[in-house]
Amino acid sequence: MLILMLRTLMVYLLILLAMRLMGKRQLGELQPAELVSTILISNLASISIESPELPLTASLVPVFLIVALELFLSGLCFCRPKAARLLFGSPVTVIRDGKICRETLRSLRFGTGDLLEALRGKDVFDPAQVSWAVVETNGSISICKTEDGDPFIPVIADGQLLKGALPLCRKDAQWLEFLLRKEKCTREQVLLLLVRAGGEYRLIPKENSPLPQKRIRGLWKGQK
Amino acid sequence: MKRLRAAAMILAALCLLTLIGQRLVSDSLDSLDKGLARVESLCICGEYPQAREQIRYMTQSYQKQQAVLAVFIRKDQLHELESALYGLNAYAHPDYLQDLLCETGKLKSQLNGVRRLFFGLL
Repeated sequence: MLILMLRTLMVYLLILLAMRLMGKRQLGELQPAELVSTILISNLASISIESPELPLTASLVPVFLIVALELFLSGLCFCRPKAARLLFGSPVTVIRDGKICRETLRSLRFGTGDLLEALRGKDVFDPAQVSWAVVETNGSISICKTEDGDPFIPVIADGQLLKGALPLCRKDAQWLEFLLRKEKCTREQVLLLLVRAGGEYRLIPKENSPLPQKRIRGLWKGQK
Repeated sequence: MKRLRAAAMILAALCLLTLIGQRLVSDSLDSLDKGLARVESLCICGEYPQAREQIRYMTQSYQKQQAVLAVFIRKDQLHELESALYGLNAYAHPDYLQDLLCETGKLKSQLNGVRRLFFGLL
């Protein structure tokens, strides 16, 4: 019994370390790859607790291999946005200016009932009240109500032009080129460009981003 | 990026553990195999005291390795091997040569089972 308790304690602490290594992303809403790794880890962890005849390595080696792969995958997705799109997909617009995009819903295998249910979860009972609704890559829905005004749509993130973002804010490549010339920067120098359909925009260049933060007594404070 | 470094270290540690495990298990099983073959040949030649000494040596060295092998192999299988090795000594007698050969055959098949379990991919 003592051995079982010690094994459970060891597995618990090591899985805690593994989850801590995978970071806060793992604790929020999960992406498909993260969900797979979390399910696998929970199953593998129980093996060596349930079967004392099995060596601890039988579950710890696969768990840490999954953790390492998950970390490499998240690093790859950070450095290569195309890989992230391939693995996790992209957010998809399902309602624009109160109009439901039926083709998009069909491609997502999302029924009108599912959409209405998701909207009700956000206290919206009429799709006409929504100026923009997006199904995120983790399956959750984000909405911007008409009463909140025209939403800012991300057009450039980390120097990468987001696919389909320009038509969504009713702009074209020429407008973007003109804007970048006006701001005297290239696309690669842009950390984030948010644009409203009305033409209002917010551009955050990469050099203006704050320096890495340092944790001081549990609080995150930016350092200059 | 610190986490990527941690991932690389974890992967390197796992590779090292796997290589060490492969080497340890392979060496232990090979030495048991060779020891059994030697016991058989000694008994066939009628050198029973040497055969008993060989069995005693094999049992002792296996017991020393068992703690390390338990990190990689199921404990119940290791225990079965140990029991079979202990029982072998009783058959190292001219009257029980056929029984001894049968027991060594069983032990070899158990060793093969462990080998398949550890090195088999499918």
